[in-house]
Amino acid sequence: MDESVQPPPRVGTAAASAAAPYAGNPAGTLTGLGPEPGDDALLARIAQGDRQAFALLAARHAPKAMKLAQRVLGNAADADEVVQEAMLRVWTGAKNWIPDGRARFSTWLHRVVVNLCVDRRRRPAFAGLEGIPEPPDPTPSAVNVMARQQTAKLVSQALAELPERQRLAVTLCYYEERSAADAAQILSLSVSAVESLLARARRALRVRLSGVVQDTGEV
Amino acid sequence: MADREWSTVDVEDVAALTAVYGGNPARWPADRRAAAVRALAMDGAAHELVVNEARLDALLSMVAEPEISAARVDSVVAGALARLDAVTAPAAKAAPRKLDTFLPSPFDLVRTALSWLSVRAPQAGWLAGATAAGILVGVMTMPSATLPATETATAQAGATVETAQADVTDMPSLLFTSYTVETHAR
Repeated sequence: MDESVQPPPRVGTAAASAAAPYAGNPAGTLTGLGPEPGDDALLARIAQGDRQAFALLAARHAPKAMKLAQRVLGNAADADEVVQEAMLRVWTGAKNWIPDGRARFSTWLHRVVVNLCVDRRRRPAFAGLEGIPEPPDPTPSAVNVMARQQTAKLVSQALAELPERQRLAVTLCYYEERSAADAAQILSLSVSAVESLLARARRALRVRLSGVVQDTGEV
Repeated sequence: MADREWSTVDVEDVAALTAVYGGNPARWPADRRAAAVRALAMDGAAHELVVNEARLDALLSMVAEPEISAARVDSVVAGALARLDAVTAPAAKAAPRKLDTFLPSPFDLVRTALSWLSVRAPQAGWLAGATAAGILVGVMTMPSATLPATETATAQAGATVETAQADVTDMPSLLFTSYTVETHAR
């Protein structure tokens, strides 16, 4: 993973304050639940129409869901819309959630996010400003940075050219660090099918990045 | 990969493992990680496989992780909160009507036809009334098209079945003759 990753975002402050007026609780805390209520407890409250519980659960899971959506879609604005849509499905589907310990909420949510991303990718693309590459930094000290960015761009392109399910498997298992079993649940596949997708994806990436390998001597 | 005990692995197992999960043992499934790491220490070929896959991993890791700011998260959550009312509406929706509630009954059709005729052609009122009454009687006296249970059993047992079509030659017979399938076991 990239070493220059930003620290985990501070989340939930504005979301909690946004939820407070709905719940009639200015302090933004959930009465009747502990300081760190579990997902199942929050979902039970959401099923009863508790907006504050919804805001808390959404703020808790949105960052990872947004990261996943952005990796799949390659676009922050679309990723935000997809996650917002997924959160609304949490609101409407909370009453159907059975807290039997077999399924984790995050796995269910990521499955919804992945499906929404796949739907969105099948729509005709709108060429927005985000598709325009940023101008290169002209300062000489940026040469190494530019070379690294160029390589990263080639890798991103190779990933984007993978068949959809292979790309999803790599995103979930490699970038999201999900186990193959988790990825299988999210993609509604068997573990062996996910392993097969991963193996084919790595073979294809190795072929596509062979030029990068020769240039950099890294592989 | 087939289910089996992973107490020991060979270089082929390591090759299969790294082809799927790459060269970072942290990503390998827990059930075979320990044995695979032991194999690396003992087998140079296995070690070489892992090093090769780790190079591809290094390239893949150059893709920057998406930056998710707190402001973006808050915006998504606040946007979802603002849309909750719009998605809470389904409970207020009316139950869907069944198809048969859309279809008019035969009596409705007759009533509509009579009212239409009384408006458009008052002099034909008697004729229309008689025709409608005939149709009504025909519908009400029409025998069921399904075979009685005993006849069905006979037919299924292989008895010869004779099917007769009513000899329809004029309008009254069309209205009053049963034209449904009749079966007779010989």
